[in-house]
Parts: sequence; C-alpha cells; structure tokens
Amino acid sequence: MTAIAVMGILLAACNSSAGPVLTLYNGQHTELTAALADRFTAESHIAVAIRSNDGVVLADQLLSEGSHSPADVYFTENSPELMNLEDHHLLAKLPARLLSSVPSEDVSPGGEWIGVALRISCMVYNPSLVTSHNLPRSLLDLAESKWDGKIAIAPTDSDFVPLVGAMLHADGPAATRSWLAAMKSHAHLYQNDESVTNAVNDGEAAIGIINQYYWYRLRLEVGTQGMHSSLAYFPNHDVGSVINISGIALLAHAPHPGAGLAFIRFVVSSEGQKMLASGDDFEYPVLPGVAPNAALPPLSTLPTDRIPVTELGNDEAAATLLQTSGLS
Amino acid sequence: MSLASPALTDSPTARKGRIPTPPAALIAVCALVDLLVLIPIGITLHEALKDGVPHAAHLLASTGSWNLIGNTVEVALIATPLCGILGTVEAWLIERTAIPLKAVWSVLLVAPLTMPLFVTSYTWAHLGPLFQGEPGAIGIIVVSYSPLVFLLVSAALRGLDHALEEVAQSMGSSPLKTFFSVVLPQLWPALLGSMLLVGLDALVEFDAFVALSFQTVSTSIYAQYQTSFSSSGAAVLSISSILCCLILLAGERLLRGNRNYTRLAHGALRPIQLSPSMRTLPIRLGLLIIFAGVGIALPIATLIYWFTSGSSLALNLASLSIQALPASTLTSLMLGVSTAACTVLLAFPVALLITRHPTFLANMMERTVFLAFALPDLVAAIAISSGASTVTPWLYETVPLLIYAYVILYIPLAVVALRTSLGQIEPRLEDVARTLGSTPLGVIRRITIPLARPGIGAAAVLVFAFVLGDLSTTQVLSPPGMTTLGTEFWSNSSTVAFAAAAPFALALALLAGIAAILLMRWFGKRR
Amino acid sequence: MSELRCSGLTKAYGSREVISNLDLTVPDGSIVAIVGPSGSGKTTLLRSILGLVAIDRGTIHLGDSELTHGRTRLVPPHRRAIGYVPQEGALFPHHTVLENVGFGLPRKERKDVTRIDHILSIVGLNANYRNRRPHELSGGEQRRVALARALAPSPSCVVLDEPFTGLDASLRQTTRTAVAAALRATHATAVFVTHDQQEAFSLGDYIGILRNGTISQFGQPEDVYREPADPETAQFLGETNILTGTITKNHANTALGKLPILGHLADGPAHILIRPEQLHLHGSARPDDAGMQVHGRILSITFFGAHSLISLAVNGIYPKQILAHHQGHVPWDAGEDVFISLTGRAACFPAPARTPADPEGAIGRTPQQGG
Repeated sequence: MTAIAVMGILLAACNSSAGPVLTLYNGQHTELTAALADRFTAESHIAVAIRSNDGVVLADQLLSEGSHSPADVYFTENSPELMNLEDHHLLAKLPARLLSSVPSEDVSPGGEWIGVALRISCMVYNPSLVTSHNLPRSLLDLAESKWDGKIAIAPTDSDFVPLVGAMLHADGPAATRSWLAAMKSHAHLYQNDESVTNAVNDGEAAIGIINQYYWYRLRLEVGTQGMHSSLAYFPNHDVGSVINISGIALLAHAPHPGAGLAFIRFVVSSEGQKMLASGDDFEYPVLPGVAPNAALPPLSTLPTDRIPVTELGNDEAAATLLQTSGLS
Repeated sequence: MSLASPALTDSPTARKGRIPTPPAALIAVCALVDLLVLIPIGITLHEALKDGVPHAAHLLASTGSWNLIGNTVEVALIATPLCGILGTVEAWLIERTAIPLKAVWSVLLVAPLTMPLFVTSYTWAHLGPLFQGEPGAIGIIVVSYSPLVFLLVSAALRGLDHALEEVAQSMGSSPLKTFFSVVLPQLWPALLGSMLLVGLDALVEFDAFVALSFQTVSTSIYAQYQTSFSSSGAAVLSISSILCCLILLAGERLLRGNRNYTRLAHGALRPIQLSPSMRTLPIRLGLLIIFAGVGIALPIATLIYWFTSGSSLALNLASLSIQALPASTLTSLMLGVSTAACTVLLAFPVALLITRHPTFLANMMERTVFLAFALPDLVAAIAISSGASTVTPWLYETVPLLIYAYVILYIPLAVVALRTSLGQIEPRLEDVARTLGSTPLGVIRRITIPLARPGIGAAAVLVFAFVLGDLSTTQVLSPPGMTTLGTEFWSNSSTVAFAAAAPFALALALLAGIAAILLMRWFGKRR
Repeated sequence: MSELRCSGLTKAYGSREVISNLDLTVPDGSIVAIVGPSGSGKTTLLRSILGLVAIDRGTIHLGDSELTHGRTRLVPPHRRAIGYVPQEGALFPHHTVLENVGFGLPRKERKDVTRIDHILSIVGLNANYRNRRPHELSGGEQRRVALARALAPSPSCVVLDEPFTGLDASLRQTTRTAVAAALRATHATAVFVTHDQQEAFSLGDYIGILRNGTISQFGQPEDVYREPADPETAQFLGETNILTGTITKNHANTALGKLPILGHLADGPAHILIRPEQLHLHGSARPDDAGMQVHGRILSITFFGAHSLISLAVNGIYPKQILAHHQGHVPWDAGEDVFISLTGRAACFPAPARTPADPEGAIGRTPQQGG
C-alpha cells in the first residue's frame, strides 16, 4: 500500500513539471536547440517543451500521430524528412516574408519549411596514412580498388543518404549501384559520422566520408593535440560536395500556431542565427550577413555542387537503393 | 470480490499431477495483463496488414529481409546457448566451489545486466573493430544477458538437494558426469527459462546493435522509417520478429517438456560442504576476473577515460552538462521506481497463476506475457504513440502512458523472477493458513507476499534497471521537456561530447551497481 | 456435538478414482487413526475434510453442520474451523513461535502472551519457546508448535497428516505422548493419517484401514489386529502367516497343527491367518502335547532386540517359509531343526476356488514401510 501511495506522489511530481505552451519535436543537436529555446522563452515568455530524438524517428512519430499530434514545431538536421512531411500535408505554409529572408535555395519550394543551418559533406583523412595530394579527386573515385580497406563510411547515418541521392541524380542508378557495391566490399562501416571521424582520427581508416562539422566537434572534444586528422573537400561540381540543410517547420495541426511561428521567426532571426554561429555547432547559418563560427572557412570559399533540395526530394529512391545494396 | 468461489477453493498444491482449477478472478486479472501486452502487437499488425496481406508479403520480400532475419536468428542462436553455458559456469563457480569474497563476485557478475545496454555498447563501439559487427553483437548479448542465466540458475542450484550429487559421486561418478547426469536435468527449467529471455531479447535488441553497426530486423526497422517514411514498412518487418518470438516460445516449451517451474517443496536443505580445492582456485578466480573484467570493468574504465581525457573546453562543456544531472537522475529514479511497482503489481497475479494453477490455460496466459518481447522497442513505442494519440489523447505524452509502455516491455522479467520465488514457497504453508481462518486474499497478504519478498525485490530491481537502460521508448513517449539520464547521455554522445556524456553514463553505472547489489541481496539469498 | 461424518465420498483425478464411496464416522472427542499404504487416498481424504479438495460426490458433516455436499456445497477451508497439522509441521518460517501459534486467532488476541503460553503448555512447551523461530526448533518441537497452532483457535476437530514422520525413535515416542495428551486435554475430535501401524495402534481410539480409496475396516485397534477383514488387511497390519487349510467344527486344521478359530466359518477349505507371535519354538518335542507338534528347519534369524523374527521351512507346507517370533535369546542357529507349537485363535477366511497364483503374496510379509 505504501508503495502505491509513494508511486502516486511520484507520478504527480513528474506531471507537474509539464504544462508548457509550445511543443517542439527536435531532431537537431539538443544542446543547440535548448540554448535557442531558453533565449526564446526569456524574450517571449512562451515556455518550450522539447522532445528530442532522431529526426527520422520523430518524422515517423509525426506521421503516425497525424492530425492528433501535440507538436507545434518540427526542427531537424536534414531536409528529406521535411519534404516527406510536406508531401503528407502535415506542414503549414510559412509567411512569404519569412521565407524570403533567407536564400531561396534554402527553403522548401512549396513554402512549408525553412532552412536554419547548412553543412557540407567532405573527407576526413589521416595524414599518416594518406598524403593530401593522393586524396581522391571525386567521391566516385573511392570505388577504385586502391582504396580497398582504407575507407570509413556510415551508411546508416542520415547524412549519407543525400550523397547517394546526389549521385543518383547526377550519374544514374547503374553507376550508383556499382559504387555502392564497391563500398560494400571496400569500406569499414560505422554507426554514424561521429564514429567515422573517430576511426580516421585513430588511424583505423585513411579516409572517412562525413559532414564537416563532426571534425570540428571532435577537435573541441579532444583538443588540437588530440587531432591526428585533417579535413579535405571534394572539388567543385563533384557529387561528394553535398550541402545538407537543417530546417524547421510549423505543423499543419499545431495546437499553438502563433507561438510556433514566433519560435521559427526567432530561429531564423539574426539573433537566433548569431547564437547558432557562436555556439559549438559548427554549422553555417542560412541568414545572409551572419558570419559562421570563426573556426570555419567561409562558405563561399568551399566547393559546392548545389543540387536543388526538390531534386533530392524525400530521399526515398536513394534510401531504397542503399537498402537493396545491403549497406543499411 | 473474493478470489475463491466455493467450487474453486482447490489447494495450491500441484503434487502428483493434480492441477487445481484457477479462481475466476485470478484468470480475469491475468487476462487484463495479457490484453495490455497485446495492444501494441495488435496496432502493429493492423498497421502491417492495412493494405492487405499480399501487399505486406510483397514489402517483406522486397526489403531483402531474409538476410536480416538470417542475421537476427544467427545472433540469437549463437548468443543464447553461449549465455546459457557462461551463466551456468558462473553459477556453478559461485554456488558449488569455494571462492573467497563470494558476495563481491556475485555482484560483479550481475552488474553487466543492470548496466544500460546503450552505455555498454557505446563504449564497445569505441574499442575497435573486434568489438563491432557480428562478433560484437554476439559478445554484447553474451556479456550483458548471461547474468540473467547466472541469477536464475544459481537460485535453482541453491534449491537443489545436494544429497543427490553426493550420492552420485559416492557411486563413482566424476564431478563432470555428476553435473550432466544429476544436476543439469534439475536445472533445466531455470536454464531454459532464462535462455528464453535472452533469446527473445537478442531478437529485438536495437540500441546495442545500432551502436555496433550490426544489422538485424530491429535495426533495419530504422532504415524502414527512413526509406518509406511510414510505419507500415517497419510494421511488416515486425511480423517476422513476432514469428521468431512465437517459434522461440514454442521451442522452449518443447525442450522443457513436462517439467514445470513449480517445484516440490521439501524440508530444510543441509548446508553444502564445499571442498576447497587449492589446485583449481587460480583457474576459477581467473575465469571470474575475465567475466567481471569484460562485463563491467571495461565499460567503466572507458567512461572514466572519456571523462578525464577530454580537452579543457570539452571538460568545460561537461561541467555545464553536470548541472542537468540532479534533475535527470531524479526523473530516472522516479520513473524506475513507479514502473517497478506497477510491473510487480501486474506480474504477481501471472506468476501466482502459473505456479499455483499450472493448467493449459495458465500456461497460455503466461506465454502471452512473453510476447511483450516480440516487438522491437521502437516499433512498440511508435505503435503506442499512434494508438494513444488518436484514441486516448488525454493520456498521450503523459507519464502514466510512458510507464504503461515500460511495464509491458519489461513485465516478462518480473514474471520470471516472481515465478522462481513463488515456486519455492512450501504449498502447505498456504493450506495451513487457510485452515486457520485466512481468506484466499488473506493468505496472499500474510503468507505468500512475505515469503516471496526476495522475488518481489528482485523483480522490482530488474525492472528498475531496465527502465534506466531504456532509450527508444523514453524518447518517443515521454512528455516533451522531460529528460532522463538515458536521454541526456544520448543527447551528448550523439554530438561527440563524450566528456559531457560521461557523467550521465557514470550516474547510470552507479545506479546499476546499486541495483546489482540489491538484486544479489534479495535474489542471491541463501535459503 | 462434533462428530465427523463422511458418507459416500468419491473423488477422481482424471479417470483414476482416488476415493471411492468412502464412509467414515469419527465419534465426538475420539482420536481416529486412518492407516493405509501410500497411494491409498489418505492425503486426499484429509484434504477433502479440510475443504482443500473439492470432492465429486458424497457429504461431509461436522456435528450438525454440513461442510461438503458433492459438488454443490463446499464450505471454504477458512470457515470450517478444522485444525490442520501438516507433515513435518510446516511452520511459517517468517514468524516466531508466538506468531505461528497466534496466526489463527482474531487480530486482537494474537499477541495475548498468557493465552499462547497456555496453549504451548498444553503441547508440553514452556514460555521460553515463545520468541524462537521455526529453524531454531528440533523436529519434535516443530510438530508440537504445529499442533499448538492448530489447537489455538479451539477447533472442534483436528486433522493430522503423518504427524511423526521423520522423527527419530526416541523423539517420536515423547512427541507422540505429548500430542496424545494435548488432544485428550482439549477434547478435540481428531483424525490422523499414517502409514505406520504402530503409531495407529498406540494413538488411535479407533483405527480405520484405508485401502483402494475406501475404509475397508473400522474398529478398535486390538479388534482390527486380531480379526482383520481380509488377508490383505491382515498383512498390512503386521507380519502374518497365511496358510491354506480346512475348517471343521470351528477349528482350523493346518500343516502347522490345529487351532480354534475366531468367529464362525462354515466347514470347508479356508485361508488361515496365524500371527508370528502365535508360534512357539522348542528344541525338543513336548511329550504332553504331541498331537500339535510340527517339525521345522530354521532358515534365518533376524534380531530385533526384545524379540527375534525367525523364518522356517516346514515340510509339506505351501508356502515354503513361515515366520515366528521368539522372545529373548534364541538358543538355535540357522540350519537347526526345531519343534513348533501354536497358541491362541486363528482368523480365517473362506478360500477361493483355486489356490493363490502368487506365492509371494501368500507368505508372511513384512509390512510396508515408507511414504
């Protein structure tokens, strides 16, 4: 009996901490989101309740909740999830003024989500295993047999699918399939980009395919003296240089659309974007005029082969190909 | 309502194959438990088959899932017997040989079970390729779940009459032969029961296999969410996991034959005289050091290394993250305690039914509880989220719903712990209490519960530890804004902030250690 | 009035009938021993009386109240007020002696120390035992506490299941005496089951023989021993020689000699039952009684202390071995020839048309031991 009474008290205690106004489903790094939400709450007096999980899982949860979802805003690391929710008519149209505040290639063509931050795919390499001038000239070159056993990839990381999508778009399914087959036989497979970065840094592999910010985060974590690796970018117009957009959207059935929109405005405002740039996230802010973290090279100096996000779509074709190749 | 209608006051004794009819009220409560367990399975099946069976079959065929099912079954088939052997060896070393500091070794051997699997696997993932892929997957199941076998088999060993072994040895049987001919047959129910749990867990393990880059049905379910962006693909894949679960349940029943979990009561057991063999002591100690070293010292050492070797900036971040430690510890504790209490409350009638009235119906009802392990956590959580958000929105994103999910995920563990304990209660004690004027409920209150206390404690601690170690369910079903030690660890470790993640992992390890000590105090009690 | 009456009790497990149309009346205030081999339904009978087993047919009455009526009425065990002393006592291990004895009392009386001390004194234990735990008690003390626990709520009937099994000989004797005294002191009607004839004879006012699920004989111990209802009962109650012979004018003529019979039996062939203690052995023929003397050869001698059991081969006797008791020192060795004389009366049963097919079953046999 005592146990049941104690339980009741505990349950009540758990519940009393709830009662927020705005519900945010967050697939972005929790630390960044929490900092943004705290500042937003301080300024607007709107409390934010955050559910953090993998962006893909959150998208599926939003789909299964449908119109009953308690979520107001969805914030994620990759655009395909947003495209998918848009296809399912679960997102609300954003005001044109808001959309036009950032470059048009960083927003949904349908106007239902807006980009927040950018990052670029690149190579991390271990100079003791491969010299910088011996690095491959293209992502496709990694299929060559000389890289057998020297590459580290994370095919199950959501950052990997857009690369496959870009390749599919540029070179067609046959070439993509044979490249994936080569990866399957050549590469060391890791759980995610963090592990790939670690592996190359520790000398387990010569080259790893990652998004650039993981390398900076690792450097922050272990210090410069702990870094035994460098970053290298693929040349311009190579499929290896894919820009991933982290975006945010208002749910069509949001219980608090006003508060949700206010939060989105805040995140892409110059204040929110500056917080992003000054934090430890190492992503590029989308808002023109906001400088990225000083540690990063300016975005304009980086080689990019911008494939419109509409072309990448919701990634379904790429992901299916990836799955049939046996990599994920 | 009284638990006994007049025609149903048959005794709890199950001697000589006489099986008393279970009271209707007990059946009703157990049916309710079964129903709670079946809800997410029902939702998942509905989701999987909503476009018709042919569509589901097509999806299943097109995902290349045979390969995945092969992987899954392979790991379960290799890891489960290994767990059985390892756990039994550990139990034998502790219960039947002279080892110094037995209590300490017992706790160290149990600790890997209470240590959250996502922490252990995360440390393994950073130890190099040897600990990854299939060997890693098999290894982590063996290391983390063999303590379950150890717990149940050593409890069974303690309950065995040592005289039988002495008789066999006096007739010239070697210790090894004695073990296989006399001891093993009697341990069989406990061994099979615990191996069943291990096998079921291996089938649906998610966090650990993701961390170790090993693809099984449950990890590919994540890929399904990614590709089809619909739970129906994941639900279809789950059908294969449900089928595997059913096959395992049937297989265990077949192997167990007519042996029951209940055991004939007997008088006081004589204390065992252990012959201290100094010759094999180094070997035995060596084995224990290896088991405990891989199981618990390795992950803890990795965590401490992370915490101490980070850059000053990282440590700065870590010191910030520590501020969140008290709140998330408190939440984890509250969730663990409330879930443990609810789970034990619901598991008790099921364990009572199977030990006191082992009829066919009771067997089926108990088996049904094990179907809780048929779905990968993520699928079960999404199913509950989809059901609750549409049918009971007032319950959605509340702590009670989260606890419900935990309860049905971990209730088989509680049933097994309680079943063992209830089976060891002398049935005549309950009979005597009846004749002394106690009602059936009075007997449960005054005799059964006090005597089953070790099992109740063990069940609660097991569930508590597994709730601490849960990630998928918490992330999907917790009220937004709520953080636990597990979610904090995940948040930090997924952004390479190892030093910041380490305090949460260490707090989890500390709680796991306390849980292991309590578990051994209650379940490892010498009768 | 607390006479216990069972009539027409029947209970089957599956297709096997364990209790078949059993009738039993235990007179008010008396102690009845139910004795039977293992598997005879003793435990099921006890559990039916306690209400722990639902019977298929028949009724059980205690005094004026009907406890069981087939499948239609079953007063649950906790409303029967029948005390139960299970095998080995089965004390509650998580309770002290005080708590064990007080278990069945109303809540307020459970801690009434003087009352519980009084009950303990009835079973011969002093107040020092009050705070001990069951594992601190000897086997005999455990049985006594179990009886005290059963007697505490003042039941009108007590049921005991093999109350002295597992105790060594000396403890058995003292415990038996203490239990008997306690039962007499409380005037409770008592039923106990046992497989041990000695126990049944020494403790029961009446004994009932339970065979194949029914009471095959009921009566005072000596009557049952001397005049068993059938040869099987006779064998169960102790070592017996069963011989074939003929009856003429209430005398049995056997190869061992001639004896008056108990009761009446028409002249003709019969099985004649002679207990080993009715046989006397002599080193030489006794001239005064030549007509009743037979000659036998000693096959083996088993020493039992006060007496010895001697098995003999007697010419012309089928079965080939007969058993005799000899008090005190046995002055012969195996292989020697002795003379046999008979005393007392013989119980006899009409012989079936053909001779017994099973020679083992017809010879003197040691009663069954063990559970």
